Amino acid sequence: MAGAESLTGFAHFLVGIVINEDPKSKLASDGSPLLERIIGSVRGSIEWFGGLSLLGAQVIRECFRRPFEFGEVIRQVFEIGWRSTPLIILSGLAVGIVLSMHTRATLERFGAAAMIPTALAFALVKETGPLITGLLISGRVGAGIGAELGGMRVTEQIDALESLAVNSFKYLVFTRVVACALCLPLLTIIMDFSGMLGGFIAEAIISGSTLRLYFSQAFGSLAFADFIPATLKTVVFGLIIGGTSSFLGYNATGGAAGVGRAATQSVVFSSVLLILMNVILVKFIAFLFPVAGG
Amino acid sequence: MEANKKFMVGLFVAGALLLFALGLFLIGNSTQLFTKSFEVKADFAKVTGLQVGSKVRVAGMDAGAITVIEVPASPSAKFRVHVRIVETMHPIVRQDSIATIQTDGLLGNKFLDVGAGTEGSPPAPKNALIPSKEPFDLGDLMDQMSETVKNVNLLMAGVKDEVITALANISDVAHSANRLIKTSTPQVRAIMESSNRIAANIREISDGVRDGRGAVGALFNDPQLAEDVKKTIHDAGATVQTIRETSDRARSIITKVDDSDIVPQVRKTVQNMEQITLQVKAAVEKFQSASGEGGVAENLQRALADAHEAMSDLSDDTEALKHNFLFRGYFKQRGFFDLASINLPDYKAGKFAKGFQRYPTWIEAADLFEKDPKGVEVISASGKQKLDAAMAEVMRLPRNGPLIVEGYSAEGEASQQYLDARRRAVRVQAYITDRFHLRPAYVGTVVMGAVKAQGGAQFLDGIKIVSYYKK
Amino acid sequence: MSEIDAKNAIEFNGVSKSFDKRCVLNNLSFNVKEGTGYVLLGRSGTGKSVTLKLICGLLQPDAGSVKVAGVDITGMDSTALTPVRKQMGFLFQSAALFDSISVGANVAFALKRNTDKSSEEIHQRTQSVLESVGLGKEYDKMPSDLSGGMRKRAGLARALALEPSILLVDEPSAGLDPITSAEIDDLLLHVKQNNTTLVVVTHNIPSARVLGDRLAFLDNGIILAEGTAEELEQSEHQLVRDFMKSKQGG
Repeated sequence: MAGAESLTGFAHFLVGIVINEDPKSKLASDGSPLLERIIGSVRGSIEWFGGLSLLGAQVIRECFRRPFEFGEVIRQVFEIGWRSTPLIILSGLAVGIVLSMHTRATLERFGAAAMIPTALAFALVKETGPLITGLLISGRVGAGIGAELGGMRVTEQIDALESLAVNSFKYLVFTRVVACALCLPLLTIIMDFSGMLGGFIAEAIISGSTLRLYFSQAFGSLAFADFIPATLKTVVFGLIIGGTSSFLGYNATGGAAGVGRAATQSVVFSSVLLILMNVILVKFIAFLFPVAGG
Repeated sequence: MEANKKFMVGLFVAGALLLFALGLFLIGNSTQLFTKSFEVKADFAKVTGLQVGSKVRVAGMDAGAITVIEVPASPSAKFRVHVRIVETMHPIVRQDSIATIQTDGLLGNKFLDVGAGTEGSPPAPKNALIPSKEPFDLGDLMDQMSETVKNVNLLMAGVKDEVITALANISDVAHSANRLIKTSTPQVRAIMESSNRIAANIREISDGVRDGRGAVGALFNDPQLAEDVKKTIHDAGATVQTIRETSDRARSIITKVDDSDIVPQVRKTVQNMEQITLQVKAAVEKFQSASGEGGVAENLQRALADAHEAMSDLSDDTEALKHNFLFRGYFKQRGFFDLASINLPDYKAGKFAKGFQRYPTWIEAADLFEKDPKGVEVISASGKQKLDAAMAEVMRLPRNGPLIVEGYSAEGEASQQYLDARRRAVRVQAYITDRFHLRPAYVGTVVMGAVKAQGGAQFLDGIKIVSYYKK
Repeated sequence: MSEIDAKNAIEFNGVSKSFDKRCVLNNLSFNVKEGTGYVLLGRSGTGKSVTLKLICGLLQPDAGSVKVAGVDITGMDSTALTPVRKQMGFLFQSAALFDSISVGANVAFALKRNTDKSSEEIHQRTQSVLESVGLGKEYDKMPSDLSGGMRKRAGLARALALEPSILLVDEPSAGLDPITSAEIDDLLLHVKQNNTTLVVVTHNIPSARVLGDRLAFLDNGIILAEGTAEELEQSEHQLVRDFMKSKQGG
């Protein structure tokens, strides 16, 4: 497949943080002039995006075609959602405690210690919660999907599925992308709340705030336009994580090494794409909900 | 897929959705979205950043949100703000509740504060239009301030000339007044001297009274009298209270003066001031021009002289009071010399202040006095120097006895001699009492009149200061 | 020959396939009659496995057409291929068992998805298929717990679960000892006797002799020789004759 090469091109061109791991890559070995290499990189990047976009389009198309693979989607929600919950809760608590301590240090200087729950809620709900959830899941789930599908590809399990008259794309890719898109907002909500709970724990130890006061203060100055779009934007994060890692795993080549590469690149590319997409989404949300407080 | 997994997935999805719902509820609760509520309206010329969804507080308590802001159809019309308030707050939202746009903290979000109404006013019905107060905006204040400064600048430029003229007038007036004051200084000083003596006398009397001596002191111990005094004091208190209230009212009136009227009023006042100063100037000029014989200046001087006389009389009166039977006991006890009741034969016979050493100092009238333009004898500058020198000697002695100023005069008939001698003694007494801060009770005068010098035919003409002291 | 009357289960017409400019199949044409065994021989990397994947629709030809059971599957996507694939079984070289589910679930997988059978019927059918390949007791074992031969048999059981009319077999004896290999051959022969068309890719000449009614020798993307085992032994090509003489093949 052209995936690996174009992928490397993409890496060189756009991100520049992934070292070239493909021994077959012409870019690494041949002494072609710089210009050609750059053109090759650009071309590779565009091809890679093309492939990913086609995958996205196919996922959308599959949404309207039988079978809907509900059972497999639920199984993936279990794998991606339920099994990530402990990680998310733990990280959320830690992030909440740390954020609370930092905001306290800053706000106390201005005598605004009463603003801590509000500041924490804003930070968590609007940006930190969705982004950290996205990055954690791209690490845990992205690598998992990349490795699993890559493994299935190189051991012919995907071909085997096809031979059993199963639409492997739908069965493997579609279900994972959908499950990711479903789970990310749910995990983000859990992250938001566990972060707030962590902040409350830190606050309760220092200032003895009550849970009820803390949460009503925290949510008091938030508007629906702060909470809902920021949470729902993680659907896009889910699509990116599921799509990118499925794409890389599903199209993996080169045996065990290829599987490893697919896993690593799933994390790297889904994280980078997620962060870049976040910039666009924040702007887009600000455009759609200009009233959102803060 | 086993049932266990399905259960976990269900738990995960339901739990997360529950948290989502909780978040929505908490946010909705802060804007009281899910509580029974009613709506009122308020009009504002400016909304200063108030938005749909902004918080609403009733008497400081979170009570709802802004639902709609109607944009006015014309610049002169106002924004109509629809306010949703929770039903529980309805009892205190009255028809006279005032809506104001305020800022949460110094830099916080805008919110609408609806004040609690008054008891007498009926509760605001649904969709009622409640009164509003335009928001106080720091930017507006700045605008107004800069506008005011601009106005003041304009005004200043406008009134500058007037002020300069007025100041010139004032300067003229001051000059005139200065001249006037110079000419009347001796009289004024004499008055002051008399006043000083009066004050000292009164102080002595009141000291005595406070100590409960004499009949007046006794009177103060009378309960009835004390009651009367108390009542009088109370009345005085009430009067003071009335005055204070009056001044408070005056202050509040001043405070209520509409800001916008001040600027023209200042202009008017300055104009008035100019007029007044012009009038004063005219008056002063008239006064000066008329200060010849029988003019205003003459009148003033006469008035001052009269005042002096009156003061002298009062001084004498208080002096007399000291010797009144009511106070006599007190002064006797204090070992005071009854300087006012020295009788001349006894004094001449040397019966006064027996056991005291005498230190006399003689000063000739020619050295001491000069005639002012009106022909009245006053102490001359050189005379004052002589007196100061003489007193310097006197002050060296122990100050434990009385000081007597003896007045002598040789001119004219006996009555004229007496009057001149008395005036001389009083003048010197007043001067030294004032100059050396002597207690008036210790400085007495004795009118010697026309006395021939010992072993001579010449009449003595001057004063003798006799200091009595004990070693 | 009697087979002339029989229908073609598989038809290749001028099929070409390249990977990265490397030509694997070049204008390949052949037919497989229903109920016969067709063995593709050849050295490694000559496109035998690619041919199998083309039959199954896992790969698409660059040129030419592939007909399976009278249906032209060229250019069909996964969903359109479903009815065709239901008639096919594929035994992969590595068996390609789904390693996240049990052996029984592997076999039942296609039954669950492609039939309306109740779970009871599926279980019975799975059990009987597993027993037919000698894995009756391994229903709940995970694929990783099985030996190579057992995996191959489990893969066969999975491929046979839907009672396909065409069975594609990739290297049935690869990595297996001769005895186990013979056992697999026996199973495949049994399948063929139930009127199932067999297409087998192998290096193993004894297997080829047992299973193949017709044999084809692929080299450089073309069929160098085609015919019965005896015909190939008499081939004009030295390479084919040498290949047929070897006992085990490559």
